[in-house]
Amino acid sequence: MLRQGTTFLKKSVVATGIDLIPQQNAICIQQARGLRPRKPAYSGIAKTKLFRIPKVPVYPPDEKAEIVRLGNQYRTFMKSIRNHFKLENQTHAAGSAEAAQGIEAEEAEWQESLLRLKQWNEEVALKRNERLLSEQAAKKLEIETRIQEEAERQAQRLKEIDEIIRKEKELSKSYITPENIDQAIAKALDDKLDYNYAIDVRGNKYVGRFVNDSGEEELPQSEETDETSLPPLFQSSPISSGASK
Amino acid sequence: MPLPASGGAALRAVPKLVIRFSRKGCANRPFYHLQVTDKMVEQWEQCIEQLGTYDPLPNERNEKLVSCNFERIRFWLGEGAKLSKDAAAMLGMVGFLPIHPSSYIHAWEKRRAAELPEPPMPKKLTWRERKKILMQQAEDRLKAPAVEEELKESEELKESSQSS
Repeated sequence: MLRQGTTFLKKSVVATGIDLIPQQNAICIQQARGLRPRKPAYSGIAKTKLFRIPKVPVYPPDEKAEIVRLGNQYRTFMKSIRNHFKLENQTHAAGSAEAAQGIEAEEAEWQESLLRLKQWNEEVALKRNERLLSEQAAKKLEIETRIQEEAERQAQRLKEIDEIIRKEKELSKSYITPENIDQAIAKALDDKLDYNYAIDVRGNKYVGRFVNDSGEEELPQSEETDETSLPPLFQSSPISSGASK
Repeated sequence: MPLPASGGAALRAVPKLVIRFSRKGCANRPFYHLQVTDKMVEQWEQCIEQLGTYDPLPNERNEKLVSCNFERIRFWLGEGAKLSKDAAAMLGMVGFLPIHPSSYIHAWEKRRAAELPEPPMPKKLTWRERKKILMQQAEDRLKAPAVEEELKESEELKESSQSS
């Protein structure tokens, strides 16, 4: 196969079924063994064979006459045989008496088979109708249940949405709107936050120094946490209870 | 991959049908399929239909086995398929067609050769024998005494060397 060269491999592609020619359809790959590829026509006559004179067989005259006679006879025979086969093919295609008889029998068989087919179809149709009806009912039931389920699902969804809206409405009371934006800004400006404070171990908050507008120092009141609310580690011991203040 | 044994090629629009042999088998083991193909297609390519087989190597009973599908050969000949010379000769020998003239010529030649007195055939040497003979010749040449002329030449050479 490999000796065939690349052309062989190209030609042995599996048939596609479109515009087939013998080469394209060729899939007998492993059958081609020990065959040398043909030299291409453009390679011409080999150098060694350029001046070769082919050896013509020489027969004695009586033998030659006999050969000619045999050849003529053979060709005549073959012509008549070919014509006979051609005629045979034609008659076979047209249909002889035997063929006509065969056709009649075939026709009868065909009719019988058609009748049987009809009966069979009827039998099958009964069964099929039953099956179709039952299938239809099942389908109807399924559709109804699905519609009901869908309705329930939608109701549930509406309920959830209502809940969300209600919550939003409640929240919207504290929203900053164009009406109350000035108030909100004023409030934000007034409400000064100072993160500059320290916390001791017990959670007491020591606020950083504040300076008044007039420049005086003013200590804001520091918050005090109730000691009992703190975890036991942070509660002041009886010895150092006075030191915390 | 399932492959069809042979046949099945699509017919071209105007095929040149020919019934001929296609070499199957392998190296040193010829085997032929009789097949109807397009004339322009190579013998290893797919044929239109296989019509028979031909095994040219005789079996243990000295028979060359042939099988033909005569019904299909009739059909294809009716369709206008040409016969190659070898296929025609084979079908003639089989008895399906009149005997091809080439068969007669071949037979005459064979008979003539058989009637001739058998010439003493020189034995064809094997390469081992040939090599043996060549080695023997080479040894003989070494052992043989030098030819007179060679002796003379050697003497002359000696003289010239002494004089100088």
